[in-house]
Amino acid sequence: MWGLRFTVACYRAFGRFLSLPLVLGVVGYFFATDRGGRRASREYLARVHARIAEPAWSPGLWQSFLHFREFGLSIADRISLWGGDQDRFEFVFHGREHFKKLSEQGKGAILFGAHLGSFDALRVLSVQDRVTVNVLMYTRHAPKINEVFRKISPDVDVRVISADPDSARTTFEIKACIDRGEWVAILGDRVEPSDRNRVCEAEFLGETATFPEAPFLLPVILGCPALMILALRRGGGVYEVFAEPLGEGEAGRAPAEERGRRAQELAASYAARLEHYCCVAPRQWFNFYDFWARNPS
Amino acid sequence: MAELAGMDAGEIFAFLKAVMAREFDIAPNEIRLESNFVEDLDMDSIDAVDLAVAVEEELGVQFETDDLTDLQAMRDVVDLIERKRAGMDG
Repeated sequence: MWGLRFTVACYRAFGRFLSLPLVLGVVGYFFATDRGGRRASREYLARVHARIAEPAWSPGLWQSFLHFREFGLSIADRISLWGGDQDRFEFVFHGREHFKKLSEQGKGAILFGAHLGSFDALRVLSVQDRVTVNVLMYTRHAPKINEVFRKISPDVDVRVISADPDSARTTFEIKACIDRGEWVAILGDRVEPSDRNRVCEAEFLGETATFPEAPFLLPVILGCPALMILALRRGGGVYEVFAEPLGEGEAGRAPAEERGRRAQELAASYAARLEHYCCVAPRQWFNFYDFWARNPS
Repeated sequence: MAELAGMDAGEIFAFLKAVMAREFDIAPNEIRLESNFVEDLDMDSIDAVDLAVAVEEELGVQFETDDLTDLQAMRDVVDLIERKRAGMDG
């Protein structure tokens, strides 16, 4: 927790002018020392390039460095936002009507994000649509993070829900949020250790990859809409936000015998759309590990 | 929707066994009052929320998060539903 407070304090004291080189320095360090991350980055870049263009291309270290650098720029933007510098940024929405419809109906929904671009468009949604957005995070520090967020931006109603692998409380909290008509945002493109017993497979950038099943089961079990939301960095403080319904939309709670199939279909649509957006912004997908490994560790 | 008002603990348990057989394909004779959800019935948090939603829909009750998080065994769910029924009666 001290890290979050320290980072925000540094930003407030020194501004972006000094924070940006600091972040890029840290990312440069990881680039220099994380051989597995560099290898994963190059493999991913080759796969995404094969989808965009022919012939096949083997990205070098420089391309991988630019990939890591983009991650650093994304973190620097997050720090700016957390530091209260929202006015530096413009979020241009595509598909805003899907959220407007939900908020007018007071409907809860699961919002699927990814480690692609930025997840901070949720802050804008929270303020402009006056809804509570809950973000599922693998942290034990949710109450303290929420406290810091409230102090930084009292008008933003974005709450963190701790994903606790040892308790069913997390899933009950998600259910309660949906029952109250709130939105719950989940990153669907990483299998965490606690997800290992529930995974599903989907085609992603030319090969079958493993995705967590539980997030895709939630809309099927709770009978709520599922949407995808991604914000891609366009430079100059501009983010393009893409929002779209996922799967069958408002299909309601599925009968027991259909749940597995419906979750699998949802994961497949998610993977296909994620692939599409990776091709739109190839350097903005930040999963620096062997994503296609059969047993991710 | 099942009628909760007239159910006693035994009927609630029988109802739950039927729901779990249908939703999770667990044989009713494997489910006992003392069955632990994780250790005996191999259920996880997704199954737990699935069961809660099914019971809410079929009995017309509403659970709070705090009602649900400490449930360990079938008996705890039967007790919880009995408390909900008592609340409806009262």
